[in-house]
Formats: sequence, structure tokens, C-alpha cells
Amino acid sequence: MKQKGGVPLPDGLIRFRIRTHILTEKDDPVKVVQRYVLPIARPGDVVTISESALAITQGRAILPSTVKPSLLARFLCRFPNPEGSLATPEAMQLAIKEAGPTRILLACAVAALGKLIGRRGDFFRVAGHGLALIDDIAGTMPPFDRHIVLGPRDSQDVVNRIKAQTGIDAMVVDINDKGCVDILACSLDYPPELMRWLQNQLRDNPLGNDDQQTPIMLLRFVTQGK
Amino acid sequence: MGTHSPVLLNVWASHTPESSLVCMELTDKAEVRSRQPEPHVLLAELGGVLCLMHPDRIRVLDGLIHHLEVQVKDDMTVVVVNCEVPIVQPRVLVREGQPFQLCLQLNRQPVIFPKPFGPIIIDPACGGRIKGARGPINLIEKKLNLDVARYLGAILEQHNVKISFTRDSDVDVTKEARLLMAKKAGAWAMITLAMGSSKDGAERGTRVLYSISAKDSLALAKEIHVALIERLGIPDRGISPSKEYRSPFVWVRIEPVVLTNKQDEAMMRSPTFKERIARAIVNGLLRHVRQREMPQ
Repeated sequence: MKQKGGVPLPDGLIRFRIRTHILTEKDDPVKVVQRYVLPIARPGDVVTISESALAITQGRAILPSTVKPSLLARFLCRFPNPEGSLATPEAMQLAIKEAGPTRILLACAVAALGKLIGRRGDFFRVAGHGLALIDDIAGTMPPFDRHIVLGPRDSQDVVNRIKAQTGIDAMVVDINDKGCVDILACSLDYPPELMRWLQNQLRDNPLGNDDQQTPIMLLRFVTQGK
Repeated sequence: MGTHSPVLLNVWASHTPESSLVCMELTDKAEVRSRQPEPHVLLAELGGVLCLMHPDRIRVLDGLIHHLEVQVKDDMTVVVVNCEVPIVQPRVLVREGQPFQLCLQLNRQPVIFPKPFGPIIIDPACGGRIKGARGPINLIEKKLNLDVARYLGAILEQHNVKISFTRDSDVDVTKEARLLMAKKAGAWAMITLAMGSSKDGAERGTRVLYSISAKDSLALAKEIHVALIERLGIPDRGISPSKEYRSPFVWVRIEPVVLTNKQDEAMMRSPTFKERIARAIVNGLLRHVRQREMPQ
């Protein structure tokens, strides 16, 4: 076992990716874990769920045709990167609904000022990280590639429920193909060094971003000599 | 918690220009028996293995493997590999470790481009002052054509196909200049990448046009069209003849979406979607090449 700043780190990580059925709003994440993970889990294992899959089970995959963009949304959507996830009136309208118009306007103002001095990312810092999780159409695998998928709600609640009802620790993760790993919620209170180590282990995006259909993964820490 | 039998968790496929790989991920060591009940079909039988993953049909469409099926029969888990051509020299590879991986390696010799092959001229339509169609929100055709062209070029180069571009940046290139480039290069085929457009905002889907003056253009168009419909899952606008280029070489114009449609425009925001377009085109090309003997 390695040590970093006094915190013992595992020697390795086994990643069991599990191909599930296509999860929909009819699925309960606890039942999904019970079906696909419980039979193979061991004490000390942690199950990860992708944030977009969790959001879909919460009914947060929205068909653009059901969204009526406001004038504000139509105006503001011109400013983000044209290929970004808030570049359409419908996605921007959902962002406004999530964060509130005042906060969105403040975020735009701060972002505009930030751009003048070469800073990036101020919009999401002010509007809220949840908006960065929004996936526009084609950002998720079929059949939800026709939907705008918002970020999940109450992720901490979900992981706590999974732990309580299955005995397995859980975390909700957002990983992209650019090596960014975000742990949105975790049922365990890991030390920061261990959390950083874990993020490094997941940078290659083992869950995949295309149609791999592996929204859950069981992690097993490896300690030499055990 | 826990089970003592090996458990199948995931099945996926990948490929290099030389081989396709079907990988079965398990919790523990297991054995596989492979057999070929038909020339195009390979079965991997995993006795004594519990199937925890969702038994499914998995689309692969890599030019060799069409799809996989995971089936559970009595106490046997079977992975069925369905290929587009007869399977040659399948091998079983074992990757010890966690997860334990049993892999089927399939030789891609039947589906590689003959060597040397090409040149294929990749022609991203529009460019420079000619912006092309504009989506209802903000996407512009000329950039999207170049994006797809780059993916296509990269994949064809991985297949050792000789390629060149009529433009590889945002510049004006006349039709005559493009045709001349292709003729000078001794093109085997020119593939024009474009976006459809329509005054009817509801119109969407994939269309492939072909040159009426060049033999084999229709045959190539048909294969690429089928591959696009298979891979993209969007409406079919069919195949149409075109007089755009009077060329001695094969020419097709591919319009994967109608950019003036909101939903089609949204699809084109996704890098994954653009790459899928390119891979589908390569699959279509491969199928066409298999149908005939190509000049060396």
C-alpha cells in the first residue's frame, strides 16, 4: 500500500463494467444495483453510476419539442460555443429553469467580463455546476440521443439509499472523453488524497461515452498482501 | 453477497485494421468453446458461467462484425458473432487479470482494402465565402463538411488507403479546381461531403447522390447509403442521380443530414455523430470493394 501525506492509498483498482438493459425513468437505481451488482459485490467494493444514467431514471431526459423557449433563452443561447450543450434555445430554457433567470443573467455577465481577461468557466462557476452536466441532443446514447438530459438531482440521497438498501457503497460520477472526472456524490467520506487517486484511476473513461451501455461499474480496491 | 461461478459482466468489440476483437469480461477465470456453425457465424460457448449482464443484441458494424448476440440457454451463456463475410482464422485469446477477459480475434483480411488502394479524394463541399446551408440555430455547413472529412481521412489512412483533400481548411475552391485535383491525382473515387437543405424545416434524413457519367458510382452510393441508414438511425431520403460532376472516376455526394432541420442540426453538434458518419462511409466503401475487383 502506498502512502501520500499519511493517507494509505490502494495498490490498484479493479473495474468491473457491467452492461445493463437500457435504463429509463421506470428504473430505480437501487433495484438496478440489486440486480446487476449485488451478486458479485464484496465488502469494501464501491458501485459507480454515471450521472446521465441516473438523471434518466429520474425522468430528467427531456424531449426538446416539449420545451417552449422564452425570449431570454433564444437570446442567451447565441453566446455559448455553437457546438456546446447550451447553444440551443431549448437547452438554454432548461438551464434557466434549473438555475433561475437572475442567476443565469448574473452568470452571463460574469462570464463576459471573465472572457475579457482571458478567463474561462465563469458561467458555470456562477450559474452552478449542475448546468455543466446538461447534455444536448446526441450527447447521450440511444434512445436518449433525441433528448436533452439534465444533471441528476439529489445524488447524495441516491447513494445513501443504495448503501442503506444494498450494503454497497456508491458514488455518482461524471466522466468525459477529455479526462475530466467529477465525483458528484459518494456514500463514503474519502480523504481528499484518496479521492484524487480514484479520479486519476478513472480518467480513461471506462464507462464510455458512446453506446457501450455500461452505466454502472463495480470498483474493487487492491491492496498487496490481501 | 457473492457467487462462486465466473460471471459474465460485459461484452464489447473493437478493431484495428488487421483484426476485430470481441471481448468478454468476467469476474473470474472461465473457459470458452468456440465453433462456427455457419461461415458467417461464430459461437463462443461459456459453460458454467452466470450471465449477469443484460443478454442483448449489440450492434458493432465495424465492416467485419455486423452484430453480437448474448444468449442464455439452460446453464450455458453463448455469445454469437454475426459477420458480414465468412470468418477466417478465428483465435481465442485469454487475458488473465481482473476483470478476466476472453477474446475472440477475427482476421480482417477479407474486409481490408487491397494494397495499394486509392487514391480517394475527399471533397468537403463549400468553404471560404461559400458557407453552404445554415441550421435553424447556428451551425454552418462548410465547417461540418470539413469536420466529417477529417474523421473520414483519418479512418481511411488507418486502413492504409491513399487519400487527399480538395480542401483541408476554410478556403474557396471552385468546382473545376476540385475536379482537376481529382484528375491529376488519378482518383479512384471522389467523395463529396455535404449537408442537405430544404425550405421545409420538417424535412430531415440521409441522402446519397451519384454521378450518372461514371460507372460504379451507383453501386458505391447504394453501399454507403445502406451503411449510413444502419449506423445513424435517421430517416432515409434515398439515393439520387446527379449531373454535378461529369467525371471518369467514381463520384458520390453524401448528405448525412438535412441541416435546415432542427433535430438533424442538433445531431451534428456531436463529435461522436460525425465520427459515426465517417465510419459508416468507410463500411460502405469496404462493402463495395468486396463486391468487385479493384484496379491496383
